[in-house]
Amino acid sequence: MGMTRLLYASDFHGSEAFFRKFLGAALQYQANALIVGGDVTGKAMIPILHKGPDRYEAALFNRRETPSTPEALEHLQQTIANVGFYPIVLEPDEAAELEADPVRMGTRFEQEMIGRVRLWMNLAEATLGPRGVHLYFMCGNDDLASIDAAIEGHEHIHNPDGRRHWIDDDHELVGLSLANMTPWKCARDSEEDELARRLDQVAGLLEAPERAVMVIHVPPFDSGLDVCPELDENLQIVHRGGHVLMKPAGSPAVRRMIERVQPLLTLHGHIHESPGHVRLGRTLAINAGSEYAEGIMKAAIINLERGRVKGHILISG
Amino acid sequence: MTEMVAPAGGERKLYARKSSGLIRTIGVFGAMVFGVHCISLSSSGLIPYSWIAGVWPGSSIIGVLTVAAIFCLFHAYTYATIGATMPRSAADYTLASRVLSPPLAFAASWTLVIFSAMVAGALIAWIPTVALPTLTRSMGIVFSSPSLVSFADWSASRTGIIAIGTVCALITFGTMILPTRTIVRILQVGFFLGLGAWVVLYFQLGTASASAFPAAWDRFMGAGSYAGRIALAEQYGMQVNPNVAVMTLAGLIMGFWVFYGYYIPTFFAGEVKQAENTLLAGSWASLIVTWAIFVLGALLLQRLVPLEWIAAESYLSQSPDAIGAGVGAMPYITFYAAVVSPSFPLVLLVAVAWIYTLINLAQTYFFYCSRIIFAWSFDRLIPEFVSWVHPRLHSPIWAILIITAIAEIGIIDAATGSVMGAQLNFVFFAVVTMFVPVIAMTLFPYLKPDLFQNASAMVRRRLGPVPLITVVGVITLSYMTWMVVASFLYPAVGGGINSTKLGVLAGLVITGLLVFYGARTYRLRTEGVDIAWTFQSVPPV
Repeated sequence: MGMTRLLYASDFHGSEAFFRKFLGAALQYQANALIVGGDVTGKAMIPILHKGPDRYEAALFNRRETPSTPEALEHLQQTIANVGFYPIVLEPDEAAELEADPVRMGTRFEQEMIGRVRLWMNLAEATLGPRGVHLYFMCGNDDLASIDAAIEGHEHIHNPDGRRHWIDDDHELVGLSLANMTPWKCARDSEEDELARRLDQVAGLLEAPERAVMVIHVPPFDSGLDVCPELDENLQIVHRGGHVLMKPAGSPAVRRMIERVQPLLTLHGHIHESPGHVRLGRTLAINAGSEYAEGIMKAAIINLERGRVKGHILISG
Repeated sequence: MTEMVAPAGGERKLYARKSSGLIRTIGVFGAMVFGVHCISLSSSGLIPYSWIAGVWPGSSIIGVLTVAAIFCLFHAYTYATIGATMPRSAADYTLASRVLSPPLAFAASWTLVIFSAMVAGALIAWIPTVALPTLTRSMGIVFSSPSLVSFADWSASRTGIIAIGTVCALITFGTMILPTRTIVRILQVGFFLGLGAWVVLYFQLGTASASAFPAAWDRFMGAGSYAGRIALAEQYGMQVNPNVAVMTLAGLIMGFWVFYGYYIPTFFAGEVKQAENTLLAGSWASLIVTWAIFVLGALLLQRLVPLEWIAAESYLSQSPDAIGAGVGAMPYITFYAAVVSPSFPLVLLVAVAWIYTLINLAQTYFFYCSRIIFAWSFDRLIPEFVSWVHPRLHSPIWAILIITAIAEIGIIDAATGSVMGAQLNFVFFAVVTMFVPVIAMTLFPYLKPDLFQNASAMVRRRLGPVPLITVVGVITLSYMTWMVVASFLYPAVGGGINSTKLGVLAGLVITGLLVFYGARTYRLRTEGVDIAWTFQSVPPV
């Protein structure tokens, strides 16, 4: 078996530009397999109010947008999608009804998220399928459970969450979408002991850990891949003397598992501010980071060869 | 079901769900504090009175500071935009490498880091050259202790600078390998100490009587010293020229010398949330605050002594002939304050604050150099061990050790040349290396239109049909070009740029290019990855 080139990214958070560039990078760098490490859905919907014939109004990043032609409206929708939000065109009374009904609002949001993931999966299948390239697409702690279903049903797309797949003849892949508890109590946040239990389960799926790749959304604790701003009880960044105080926010359970199982390679996301790579024993751990809101793709290219990581590099574009 | 975050009252802008990452921004105050720290209330606090006054005798210090600050506002805007465009560590290098040319960006960054580390050493050398002698000489004279005066002389000697400077460099190294949280506390203490020192200076200068200054000065510097100062400076060639055009010219040249550092938070842009707002407001605020601090110092000092006298003292400290003739000059605002109010606790407080904040300043240089080295490491341009982080201290010990070693060269350079030498040259070197990221930012809307369209609103601002950053970038480039030209036209402030120094600059750039191409070849052959990939644009499918 020759060299296998992996392309890894995570934390798309709904960014259309990021995902499309990710697929573009697969072609540009001739990746043999693509892995996505979670947090694929966006954080907000942007209402575009229909104010009259060819009159629309929205606010993006505190800037008032008033498209007045179908082309301008489409461009605004694309811009909103590129930064990870979901544009929804509403009549003013529709908006009022939606705002008054949190359940309806939540349902609409879920539909938007599922819809975009389905679009992405169709695009990925159409792009990668003819080339025989497989995409291993996993959710993260920010993604609702219902997103998993949107990933299914494609020949070249697989969800590695809690499952094992062979990337090539030598290297197997398992994944875990859970994260340790965050201040936001997200959809797939869990306590450390539950995380440890699930990690043991996925590690137990491995046939040859020394040649295995594990995609685990949350990075190992205090590894340099998990450094983020410290927050106070009001979720404000703590800073002293003009410096942001940073702290490790990874999972001790993930670290313990890596140190014990010593897989060949672990891939992480979750902490956008902390891209990099680190060795934990013989394991190479990588966090590709994320700048989805800028429409920038951040990813890692990893060359695997006969049970070793031949080389790797972080890219952005 | 998706749990929503309640929209702000009456606002229909964003329907956010409950998810991670919805955190507030670091305040402008925080960014401003860091900017003030990087400008330095100690070293930059001396320059207007000890140096500018003597280079352009008769020019209004306040006028020079004002013109300098105004031009720095343009440069600050450009760098804040760089940080907003690439909100991550070493934003300037990252932008230039992605927009213009990876090898050129790396070579510029490489040169900047090496010379920054040297300047950190030159700044550390101020401790034995200025801060310690001011303290010990004042105390020696007040308390009639010849040994303290002798120590002051030794401290400012070549041996003293190297010995004390080396100890201070080791202290800086020792503090920089501490956990980040501890370093931050040290810097925070320094910020308030620095402010406290200025309050003491204001108190000393503001409460003294103008009529008492001559006698107080003579008591320290010898009978008749005050009255003869202007005549002595004129004897050595000083020509007073209170011309507004000269003042403006001086301001155009002195901006970076006085206010250098306000844009350094751009190097940490990855740690600043909503960088597009915070970086600009923070850097502008730090410029305005330091301008106000220095201007108030000038106002209070000029209450006691005329501008011409300040110029004369400054001139004598820089005139080679006067120095050669053994004329002693102490053109430091800290010394003036100590003279008029020779209170041991106050002088001690100011001296300690000055020494502390000078080490703080070196720490900020160490800090940003290590951040840039990390950015190189991410791009696989340097060996991994350089950015290895100690598991318990969480410090990149090897990177900091390398920076310390280069800083030691800066100390030796300061001891064997002039204490301003490396810093003077640094501005020239820094400006030259800045051309790469500033050109990249200026042309960004045209070279990377897709990224420009997706950039934050601050980056996408327009002035009519032209992107605002292109307009400001051109102004910044013009200012920088002038700075380079001025380095040759005015050797007194340009550090005497000669063929040797140009050779050093070329050597650094060439070694940077060699490192880039060497690393690229190595990674390609042994790992099958091309470093150039990290800089390439990827078209979306």
